[in-house]
Amino acid sequence: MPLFGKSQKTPVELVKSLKEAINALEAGDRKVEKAQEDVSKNLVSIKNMLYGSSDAEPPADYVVAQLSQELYNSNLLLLLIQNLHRIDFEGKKHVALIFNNVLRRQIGTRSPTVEYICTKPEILFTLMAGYEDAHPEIALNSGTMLRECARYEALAKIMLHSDEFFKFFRYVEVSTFDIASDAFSTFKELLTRHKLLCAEFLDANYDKFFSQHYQRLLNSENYVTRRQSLKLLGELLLDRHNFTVMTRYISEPENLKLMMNMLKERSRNIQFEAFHVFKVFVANPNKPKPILDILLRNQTKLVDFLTSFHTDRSEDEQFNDEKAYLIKQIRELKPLPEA
Amino acid sequence: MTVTVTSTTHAMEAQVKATAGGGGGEQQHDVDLAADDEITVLLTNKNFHFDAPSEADEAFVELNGGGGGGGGGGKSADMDLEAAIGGAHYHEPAEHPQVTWLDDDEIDTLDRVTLDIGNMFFNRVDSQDIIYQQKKKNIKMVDKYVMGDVLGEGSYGKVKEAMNSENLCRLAVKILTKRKLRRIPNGEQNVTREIHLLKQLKHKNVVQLVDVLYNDEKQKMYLVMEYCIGGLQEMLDHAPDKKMPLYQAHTYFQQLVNGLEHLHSCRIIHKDIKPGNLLLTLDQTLKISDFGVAEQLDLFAPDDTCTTGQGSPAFQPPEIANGHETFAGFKVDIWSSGVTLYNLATGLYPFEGDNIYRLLENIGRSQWVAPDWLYELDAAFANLILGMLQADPSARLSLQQIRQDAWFLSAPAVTGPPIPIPPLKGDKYGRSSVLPYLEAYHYGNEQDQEDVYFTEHDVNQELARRAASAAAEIRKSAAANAACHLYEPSTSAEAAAESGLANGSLEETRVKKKGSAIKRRAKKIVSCIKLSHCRTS
Amino acid sequence: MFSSSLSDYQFTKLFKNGKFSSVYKANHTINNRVIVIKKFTLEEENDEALKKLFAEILCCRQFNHPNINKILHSFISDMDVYVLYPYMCFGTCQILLDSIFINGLPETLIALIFKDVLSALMYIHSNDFVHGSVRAHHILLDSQRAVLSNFHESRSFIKHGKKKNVLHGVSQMKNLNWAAPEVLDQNIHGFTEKCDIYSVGITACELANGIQPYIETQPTLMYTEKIRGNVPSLLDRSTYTMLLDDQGKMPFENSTRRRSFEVYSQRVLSEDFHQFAEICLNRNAENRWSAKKLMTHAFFKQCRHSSISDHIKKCRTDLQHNSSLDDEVIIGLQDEQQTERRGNSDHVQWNF
Repeated sequence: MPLFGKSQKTPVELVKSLKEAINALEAGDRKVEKAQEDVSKNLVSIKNMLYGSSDAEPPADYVVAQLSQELYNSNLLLLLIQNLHRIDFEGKKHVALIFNNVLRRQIGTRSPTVEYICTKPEILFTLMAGYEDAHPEIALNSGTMLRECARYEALAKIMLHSDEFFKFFRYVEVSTFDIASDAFSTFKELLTRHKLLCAEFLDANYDKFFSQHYQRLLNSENYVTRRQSLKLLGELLLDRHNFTVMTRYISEPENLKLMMNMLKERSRNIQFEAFHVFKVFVANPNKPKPILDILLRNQTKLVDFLTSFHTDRSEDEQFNDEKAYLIKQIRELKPLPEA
Repeated sequence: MTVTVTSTTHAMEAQVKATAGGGGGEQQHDVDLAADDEITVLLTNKNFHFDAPSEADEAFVELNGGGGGGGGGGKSADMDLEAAIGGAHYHEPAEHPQVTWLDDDEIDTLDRVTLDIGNMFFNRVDSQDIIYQQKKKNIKMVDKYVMGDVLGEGSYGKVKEAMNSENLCRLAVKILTKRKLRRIPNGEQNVTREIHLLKQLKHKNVVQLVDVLYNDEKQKMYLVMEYCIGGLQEMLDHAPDKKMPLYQAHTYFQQLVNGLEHLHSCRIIHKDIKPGNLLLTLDQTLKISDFGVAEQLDLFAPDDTCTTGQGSPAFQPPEIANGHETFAGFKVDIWSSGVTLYNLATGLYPFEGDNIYRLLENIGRSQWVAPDWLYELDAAFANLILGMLQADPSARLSLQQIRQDAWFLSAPAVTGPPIPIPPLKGDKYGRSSVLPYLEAYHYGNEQDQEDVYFTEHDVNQELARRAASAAAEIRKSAAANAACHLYEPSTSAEAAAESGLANGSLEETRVKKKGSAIKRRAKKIVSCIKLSHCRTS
Repeated sequence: MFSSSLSDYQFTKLFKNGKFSSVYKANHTINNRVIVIKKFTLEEENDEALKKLFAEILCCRQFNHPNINKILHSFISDMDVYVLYPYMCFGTCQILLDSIFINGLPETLIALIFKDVLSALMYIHSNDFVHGSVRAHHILLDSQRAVLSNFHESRSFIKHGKKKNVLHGVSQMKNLNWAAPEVLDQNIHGFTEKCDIYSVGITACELANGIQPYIETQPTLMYTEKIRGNVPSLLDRSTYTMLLDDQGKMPFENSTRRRSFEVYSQRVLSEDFHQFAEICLNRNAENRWSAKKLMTHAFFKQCRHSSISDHIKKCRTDLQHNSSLDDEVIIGLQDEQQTERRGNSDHVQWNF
């Protein structure tokens, strides 16, 4: 039985054919419709070659190897991503599937596709720009590919250290709910997956990240943004790997004030998340004077407030233990002895 | 006779099998061995802490057994029947395998038996003379959970399979009795801490706690957890060389590292990492389990200094073996992960000893050296193990360094078939053991109430019959398959019969009522309305 | 295309009011388009539920097919998420069963509906997804077509660029009755996209008989029954005897049930329909036909000279009295709900 079937092309031919079709699409001349058809057809063939289909078996290893090598050589990956908005609906999905599959390729300790993308970081930046308002139809597909890339430390590093990264603070607040959520999950992935990389990044960029940008998210008018970013803040601060960042964060009075205000938010969910960050400020055995001052000034109010805080959570033992602990700590607060 | 103390039970199992295999003759051997310790005699005969499922005990009650405690003959029959019922899944071996504690039930029975040396010799009973009575599968519920068979047993109590009767979710329940907990140093404390830790953890490579139930009247506690079909220790025990291919160990190790990283992020040190505590779910995801000796550092602890280590001896690092007052917590988990990985891939342990003291001595004495054959097997792998087994904790690899390691990053070549994943015997579908109880409950009026008696001979015959009908079924369903591809069955009765047979549910047929069971399946498919009216559930 | 501002929408009818979500008919005033808006009260949802909501919306966005309910837009206002869908004038099949077709939909209408549903499933399966909760409540109708909706149980076989052959895991409580035995079984073999076909079979009984299958049955009994290969059947003259008890008598006291029983015992459903249901409900997943193949079954011959609107129009007079399908006086937004949700801690003023 012929390996590729009578009408099927070889990997090399497929890639060549697809590249031509994309170029035609990009050029935008009269044959655009035919070009789109060709693009779609070729994408389907490549996708089936990589994943197998109900009619065919999954491919032999060397087929995948050939295909991947052709993709690198022809720079087709970058081309596809740059023209994502020109490709039809189904085609966009196939681009993402092909990309994610080829990304996993491994030879020994090497990940060739990851290495390739490291040499062509425009791929990552183009994907990140997929969240921009101009082309909402490519946002979700770009997001899928970005999150796959984020699983590889080398690529996550490029993304975190880029200027483009800070655009995420805008992307997570766009008006379309699903695009904003997708952007947030990519954002979160970049900040939590690779522990050392993230800790170093947050340490090095503390002011820009927290004071300039993250503060805004916590104060956003958008309920989902506030809720999600507060929860992420809690996760970041309580991750042992971010210990230095945590100690720095909880020694800044502005942060304490923000948390105390969020404790009185309208949303009970946000109140609860705020509690989990607030407790760290109080639990700190080495509270700096400004923090201690704020707590002392509001000592009675805090004790009263906490006593009646979320009393309906009677089932949550851990929460109630923590609450009791905080109330005790605050009650027993004493000013620092004079120097 | 040297026994490698590994604090897993497979060594013990070998001993059991040797004892149980023949009957009386070997029984004597056992008595001689432990003659200096009277209590041990009784214990080894009672096969107390071995991983023979106690389900075997429950299902079959001797009516004509030998004297004394269990009796060797009875146990050998149990071993055979294990295959029919389905074996143990979890391993929760005692920490000190040669000294075991009697539980209260055992103590009670002791009091009743006259300890007369004359009675200490066991009468040999021929297997075929022993008659068994099949105990009915009576449904048992705890809250909304239907209980299934025992999956494993440890010093704290049993782990049973269960099912949420409302959403039909398969689960595992760890049953803890206050009595047993009190007999273990810090028993109750450990459990409270375990629950506290589990409630905080939510990660795909850490076992999930679903519910905690208390029964004050019975003084029991139930930890309801996500269901795992088996564990790495079990897989190793069933493998011919007690090891798995490198590439298979690699996939599990990657998941272990991910889970461990999450634990360390939450300031939790597991302290008992070993194959016995690494379980697998139905979709082959690895789950770290058993947080009985885990410790959580304070939120503001400046470092990970710990003072206590209570894990399994073979997996303890030198700093604990040498009794250091304080040591770095995270590096303890690294060491035991290294021993685990080495064990998975080679079937051996980096350190051994005739008894615990020798073992700990060996661990603590000097730096482990990777043998030449390990380098020949895979040099990168040997390097990683060496890095994880550095005696000096500060020289030992950290988790992040492991992530950069060459072997960790690689995709080891597939060298052959993987060792089988659970279920390893019995039901090849890995079905819920709750199912037979549900069937008994819902369809109980099908069978007569008469008791079923049978002998060893009957059992062997039954097993042979099942094997034959399994073969027949495979032929039949292959034919049915072929037929169905072209055309659908022409009558509904045929379809029902086919679909009933295609169940592949051998274990659902009973020894006696097979005839009526088949008859039921051939009955026409029932409407939804009839069900609601005719069943009194 | 669609505004993200709540004030650009006029809410005209409330279809469903729940703690976690509510469904409205609305008018997008900018282009006067009639749509359906599902409002999710996020404050009531915990983080798990929130994640599931994102996943469902993301999943829905992957599909573009005439027989799959499309998300037109989604936006946040205050503490709620609003998701916009096209307006399907006849609502869900469940509404039709509850209101008009008490003893089941006419066979041809069912064929027309399933033709569309199978077309949708074919598309979903070719995208390597499983729908996961095919049931009458998740099939919407308008005069042109039937549409499959509700993707909260949907799952993909492809994860991280790799394709799995089977999936594992049990679905949520509310859809268990439609779940295939291999799904409920939670065994090591897992399940494939064929579980959707089984659900189609259960839905066939649901639509034909007018009753939700296993509605009065304990979940554990439903499970053991399905494992044994016992399934509901389409009730008509050839099968109604199933309802009789061992003495051949009708076991119903209830008069509505007796009437239904009479209807079942009189009517005749085609042999093709019975066969179709049996293929779908085959205990062995491999023996069930694929969605693509099922569409070629003889059962669908009757669709040739018929349409959905034909069948519904016949009952139009009944429908006109059914208020859930008519426009109502324009209603205002539920402002009262928002004031209730205010936290109890506004009165505290911190001293900074």
